[in-house]
Amino acid sequence: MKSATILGCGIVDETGIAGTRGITATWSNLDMVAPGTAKTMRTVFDKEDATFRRIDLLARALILACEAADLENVLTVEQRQDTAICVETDLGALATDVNFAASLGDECVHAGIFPYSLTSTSLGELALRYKLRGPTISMSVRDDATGSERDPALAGESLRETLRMLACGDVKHVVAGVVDAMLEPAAGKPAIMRAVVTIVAAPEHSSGIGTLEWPDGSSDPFAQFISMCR
Amino acid sequence: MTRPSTARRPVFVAGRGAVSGFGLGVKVLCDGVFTGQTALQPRARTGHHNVATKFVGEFPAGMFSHSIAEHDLPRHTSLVATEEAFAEAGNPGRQRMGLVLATTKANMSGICGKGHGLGSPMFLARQLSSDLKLGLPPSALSAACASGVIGIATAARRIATGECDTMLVLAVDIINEFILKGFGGMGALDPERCRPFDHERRGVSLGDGAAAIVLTANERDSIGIRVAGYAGANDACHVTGPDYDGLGIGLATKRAIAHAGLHMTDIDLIHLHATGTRSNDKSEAIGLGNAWANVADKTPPAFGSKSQTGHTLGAAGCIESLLAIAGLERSCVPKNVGLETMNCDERLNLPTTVRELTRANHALKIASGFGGVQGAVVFSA
Repeated sequence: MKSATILGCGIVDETGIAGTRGITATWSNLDMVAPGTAKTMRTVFDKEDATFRRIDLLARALILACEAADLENVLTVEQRQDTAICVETDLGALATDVNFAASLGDECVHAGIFPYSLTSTSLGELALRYKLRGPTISMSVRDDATGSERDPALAGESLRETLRMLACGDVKHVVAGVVDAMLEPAAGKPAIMRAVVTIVAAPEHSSGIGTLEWPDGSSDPFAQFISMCR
Repeated sequence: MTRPSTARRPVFVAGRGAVSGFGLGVKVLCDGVFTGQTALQPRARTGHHNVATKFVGEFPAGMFSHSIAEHDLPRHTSLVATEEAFAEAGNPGRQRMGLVLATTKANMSGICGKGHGLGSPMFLARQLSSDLKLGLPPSALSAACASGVIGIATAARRIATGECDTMLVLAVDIINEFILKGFGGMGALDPERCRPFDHERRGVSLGDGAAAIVLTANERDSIGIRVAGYAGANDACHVTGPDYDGLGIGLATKRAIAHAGLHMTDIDLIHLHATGTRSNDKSEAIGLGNAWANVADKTPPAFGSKSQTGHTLGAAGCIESLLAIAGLERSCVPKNVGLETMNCDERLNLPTTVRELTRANHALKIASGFGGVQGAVVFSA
């Protein structure tokens, strides 16, 4: 299976939030800083999320992108029971790593952020909110030796793994994407804000809004989703 | 729990390698675990860090002929484990071989020191792929402490879809200040040697580990073990604590067994996650008890090994898969070291002495990680 059906997309970046739900908001219009606070959820999505501002930036960006993709309406509660999450990241939890490492010399380390040094924890916040009980996979695509440039041969690995899972019949739906969220430069890497999420299904699904093709490494595999959102 | 029957190419195990607190090699590891020994020793390399535990499963001092910096251990031990696995696999061709690296933090030398590693698993994966001259681009994943099991599933899927015929799964993590103080700060470390499922358990013990598994599509290259099924799940309950009903681990278990085309009663032994934390052990026992509830009073005989190797984090799923396979090969389940008085759901069948098996065809390995991540894989002889 070299393709799948796209059911929805959402993005969060330095400009704002957009998605196939029909929402477009800019941080300047919202008078907020990416990736927002609980107020963002209320203002943009008319939704309460009491713990939103306590979770890490990766999770916040992904959750807003999922809201923009209208995840809760695109997939039924039953479908979400075995929906997989497969997300790739360049920087991973680098900002959290740096913050936690800075506390190592202290008498009391910053234990509260330690779990978020693993990107799977951020994906867990997504699973928790939407009850996505399929497999959860966090893929790494950054080679520190190559600086901040994305290697096109590696980018899109989450999409390739998504297509493999669907091809094997291991799952019927996947929330796939990419996330990197760092407000300030750290460890020589520039600040970045990007979460792109797409909800995909096996190609026999008839009510899609587009087709996910096998990323061949020749271009940004997430560009098509961004153009579908804005 | 039924899954769509999809034509998948079968996947076999062709080679194995390991470096653990017991030393170099799979045989040393398996002999140590199956004879009830423990590699948890007073901290040496990590002894200068101020954390509330005395014991860890570090690689034995002097194991290598020359001194290796802590931040170089992931790369070095991965290569050593691979060499062993390639030897057992008959040195397979590398031009059409891919790598899946499973780890939590890989190399942290640039964050906790002046090195180049910034905790990106792909950084290490590229190094290893280059070192080993593998022809296909590497993949790197981090699924917390379930990384090893998810890594096996990810690699098996490449073969199942026909993308390639041979895959190398590498799983590695080395304990360091970052990890020790992280778990210590959460109050998750047992001050002594961990005692999974025991009434007196107080937390986990950590350990160094690297494991390599060569997977192949060709049965003739197999060691007689098939990766029969694999699956994942998420608790979707809490990002650091388990679901008290063990829902996620039960889901992953049932899905993996169905994926293998087996019934629950076909499983002959289980290698558990068994960290030694009060909440994880409790939910694991309940989840597995519930999973078998409709077909048996107790689960198949089960064992954990973190009281012997320490919790090797991202490497645990692969190291412990090797032990599950050893259980099939040796037709027995080793005793659960450190377990004296069980204090969990008693439907979980935990031998406290070596249990000989009358049938050893199918073994289940399960793992859990931060983020509610659950993984399960079934090996068949």
